[in-house]
Amino acid sequence: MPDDVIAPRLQPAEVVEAEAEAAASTGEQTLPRKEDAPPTHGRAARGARRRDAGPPPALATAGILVALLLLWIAGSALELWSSNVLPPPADVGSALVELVQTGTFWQAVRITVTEIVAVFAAALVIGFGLGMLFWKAPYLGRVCEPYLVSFYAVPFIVFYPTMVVIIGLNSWPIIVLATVMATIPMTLNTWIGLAGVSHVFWKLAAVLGCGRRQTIFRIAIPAAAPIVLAGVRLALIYSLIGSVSMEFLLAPNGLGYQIRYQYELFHQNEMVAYVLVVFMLAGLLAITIAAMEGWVLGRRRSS
Amino acid sequence: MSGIAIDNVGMEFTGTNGAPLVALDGIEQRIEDGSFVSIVGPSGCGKSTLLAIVSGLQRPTGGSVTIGDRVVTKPDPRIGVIFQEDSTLPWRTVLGNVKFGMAIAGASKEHQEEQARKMIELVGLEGFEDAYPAKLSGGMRQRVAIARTLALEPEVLLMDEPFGALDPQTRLMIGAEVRRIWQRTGTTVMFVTHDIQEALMLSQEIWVMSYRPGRILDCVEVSLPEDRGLESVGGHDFAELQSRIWEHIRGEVTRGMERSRA
Repeated sequence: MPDDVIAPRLQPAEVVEAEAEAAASTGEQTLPRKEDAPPTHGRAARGARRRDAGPPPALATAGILVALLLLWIAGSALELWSSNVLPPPADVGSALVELVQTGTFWQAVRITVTEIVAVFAAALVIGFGLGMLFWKAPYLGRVCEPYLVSFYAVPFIVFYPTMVVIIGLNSWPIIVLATVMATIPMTLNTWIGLAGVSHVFWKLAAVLGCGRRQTIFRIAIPAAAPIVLAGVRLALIYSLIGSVSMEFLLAPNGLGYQIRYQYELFHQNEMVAYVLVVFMLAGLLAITIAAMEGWVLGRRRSS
Repeated sequence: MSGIAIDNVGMEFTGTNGAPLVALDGIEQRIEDGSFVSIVGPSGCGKSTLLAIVSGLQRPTGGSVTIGDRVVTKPDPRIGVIFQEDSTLPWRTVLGNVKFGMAIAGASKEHQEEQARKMIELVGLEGFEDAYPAKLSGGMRQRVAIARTLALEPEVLLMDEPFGALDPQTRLMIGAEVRRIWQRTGTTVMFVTHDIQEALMLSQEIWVMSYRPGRILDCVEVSLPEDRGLESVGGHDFAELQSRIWEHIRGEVTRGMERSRA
């Protein structure tokens, strides 16, 4: 497969994971195949080939969520834990219903979502650009690589108080630091993805007479897409974690701020309601990105 | 269509110990317009290097290659190249892959569509137009690559161990198909392989190359019937040609192994 030729020196844990994921998602584990045996197509064939029995995975996944909810209801009813630890779902539900009717709630959602979108967009643009630059300029890449790889492990949140002093108490210090966090995986994955493009594609580009732009946009980028998209996914995750956790520390508003604020007021119901909202937001983003990956890469899979 | 003239082509690399390494030395050969020539030789004899020079992907350190009346200095749409590795684009369908070369060359949409369908039929992939490479076997992917190359109507077709990654049965099948396509299109073909039988089954002429420095030891004219099937493999003529080529190669392989051990 073209994606397994990767720059051997670039192997931070998360990138390796992302690659494994990308490799799995391109489904390149080749099973022994008979030459010219017509591959089976269509839904029916796919269903017949499914080896594991049971309900479809999506349904089973939803089932786990229902089970957890039931556990929550039962545990609260039987008072297995104090309602100070985790209030009953009915109380949290009614708190949530009340919250969504307030302007504060929507303002918090708006601020957090704006931060995430800004960070994600900036990380995509900067990370892709830097990845291309380091790939095009290997010397520069080698010089910067140790920093990039070790930055992966730095909890950038520790710089947050300093940033607040420098920039001020608003969304900007959050956006700046979360962008740094999210840009790193995007940069590394773009770089590794491009560096790992099979050499046969470069030869193909040469014999077909592709120009510079054609080689990059019509061959290199699509060939690197599985690994680059794994970077996109990581960038989104870091955008969310970075934004919410820094709001939690200190911020004028946002979902993270609301969680902490309600906690400090001993408003258990409201706090858990906000936590649930963050969960839902994370789930929504994860589904969006998975759908995008499926749309771009689905056709390349062998089954 | 055009013949190929290889004039005194030499290729030197700098070896790992800094000493010059002569991969090709004074190759002087002609390929007539429309003929099918195979190059056999031990691993590392420079046969792929020679093909890369003819394709324009590498510049020789001496001599020149002329196709038709033009000297080869860089890759050129008149020269079609098929690689050993899978070069199908996994994000494009069979039809999209076959169209790709034409799209780069700037052909009109109508021409791309019409030509691609014709080529897919030529390589026997009708019904798979909308399939992605992941759904195809190695042999089928190589057919896609062949169709993509032929769609550009190259004057010469260079194949660098194109079936090297395929199993023996598939090689036989797809080899016969390449010969059939060559008979239909009349393209000049240069075919690199290390499989003597394959070379005998496919070509009109076989060049036997020596281990470093790469030189042409022998040009064998393949005096076998035009439509050679599997039955010719057992024939007397076939065996005689095979042993003639093998005699050359055996010595070279031994020499190569001793050299690389030293």
